[in-house]
Amino acid sequence: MKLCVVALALALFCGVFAVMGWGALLHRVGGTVIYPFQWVFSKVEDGISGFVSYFEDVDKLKNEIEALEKENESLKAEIQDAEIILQEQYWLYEYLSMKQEHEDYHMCAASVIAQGGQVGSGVYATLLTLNKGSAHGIKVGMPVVTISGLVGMVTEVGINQCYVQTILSTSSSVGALLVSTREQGLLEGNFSCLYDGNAMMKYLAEDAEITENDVIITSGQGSVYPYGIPVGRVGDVKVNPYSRTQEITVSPFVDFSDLDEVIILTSYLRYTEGDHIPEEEGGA
Amino acid sequence: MKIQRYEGTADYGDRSLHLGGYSQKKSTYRGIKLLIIGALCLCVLAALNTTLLSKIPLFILPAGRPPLCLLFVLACGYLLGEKEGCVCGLMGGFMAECADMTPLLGGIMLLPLIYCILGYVAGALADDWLAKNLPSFEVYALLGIFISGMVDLLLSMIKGGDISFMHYLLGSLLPELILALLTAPILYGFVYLLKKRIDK
Repeated sequence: MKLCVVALALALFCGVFAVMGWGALLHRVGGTVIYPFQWVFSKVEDGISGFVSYFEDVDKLKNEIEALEKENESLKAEIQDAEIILQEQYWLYEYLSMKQEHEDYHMCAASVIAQGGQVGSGVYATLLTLNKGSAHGIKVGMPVVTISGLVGMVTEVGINQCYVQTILSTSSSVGALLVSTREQGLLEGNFSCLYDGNAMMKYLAEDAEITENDVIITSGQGSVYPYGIPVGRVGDVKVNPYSRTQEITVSPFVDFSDLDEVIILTSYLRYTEGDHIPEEEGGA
Repeated sequence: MKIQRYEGTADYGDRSLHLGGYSQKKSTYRGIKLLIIGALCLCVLAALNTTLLSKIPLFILPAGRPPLCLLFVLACGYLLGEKEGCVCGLMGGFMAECADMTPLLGGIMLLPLIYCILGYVAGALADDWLAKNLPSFEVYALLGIFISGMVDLLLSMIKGGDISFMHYLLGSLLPELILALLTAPILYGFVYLLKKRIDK
């Protein structure tokens, strides 16, 4: 009981001291005793809050990554759209250039909707289906080109579609000439080089000068193709011992494994190598 | 088992006197041990209260802190006796007030006195009125905290503070009571183990 009284008295004295203005001194004494413990716990608290904030940061970073991934996906889609637009723009630019270069050409742009190949043609198309037909003024025998060069000719026409035989087809034959030497020959599809996407130029004179990588263009001979359309480059050259002519493997400018857009020449002025004078309005 | 039972019965003669001296010595030793451990515990609890457990979020209620020192004092009084409760109350009140470094109860350092009284009453009630178990301790602890809070509010009002009772109740006292309810079993168990250890 004595101890209780003493304790109560001390407690009361604390209050009395505080009222007398010595409270600050008591606080300082008590604070000094408690300070080391507070210091230790504040460090522990810092550690814990650091640990917790680490995980909070991880969550935050995860959310940021998710948001960035979504943004990345949308940006990728935008880039794809932009690439398509760029391709279209490039194609239209080339189309316009061609139009400016050949003012006599009347052209009709068409898209390839299907590709077919002969046996042994691999990835290279020998038959194309285009989305333009008689309803668009397309007729059999019209030449088909791209910005790069000659594709082939229209062989069948439906109302809204037409079929094109490419220069790789073994049924195809195009009058062509070598730009540097003006040597003329006949460009045909051939099974021996079809798998590589090449065509064969035949009936060149045995003594004709042929330089490798020479450019081959259409000669304008025949009733289908106009003069001067680029066809391809000279590849291997060999002499046929039976016909005593030279044969060239031609690597076409047009990539027949990846054709999307083509141009059908609906009408053009017909002239041939030598005269360069327009004779008549051609086309099929 | 209380040590006082062996004290000072003259009927046992010299032997009993010898035993009485031994037990008195043991009791003093126990008291000193209790004083040191209690002071140390109160230091730790006061420091904890102002650092790690200073702002515990309580869902919709404002963040509060459990009155660890008061709970320890009450548990000491409840389990160890009125004398121990009283002394622990003196130390606990002093520590609680010093740890904050901001004088509570109007700056008149009344906390040691209040804790002292509450510790004593806890011991007295536990010996005579209440069954020594956790639920009754929890009830008493909540009552003690409520009384302490009311005294705090009253003195603050007397000093001239324009305090809304509801605001004080919901913003300060209620979080404290809820947190006290949650932490009381821990401190009760701790003091119970401490008692067993000291009485060994």
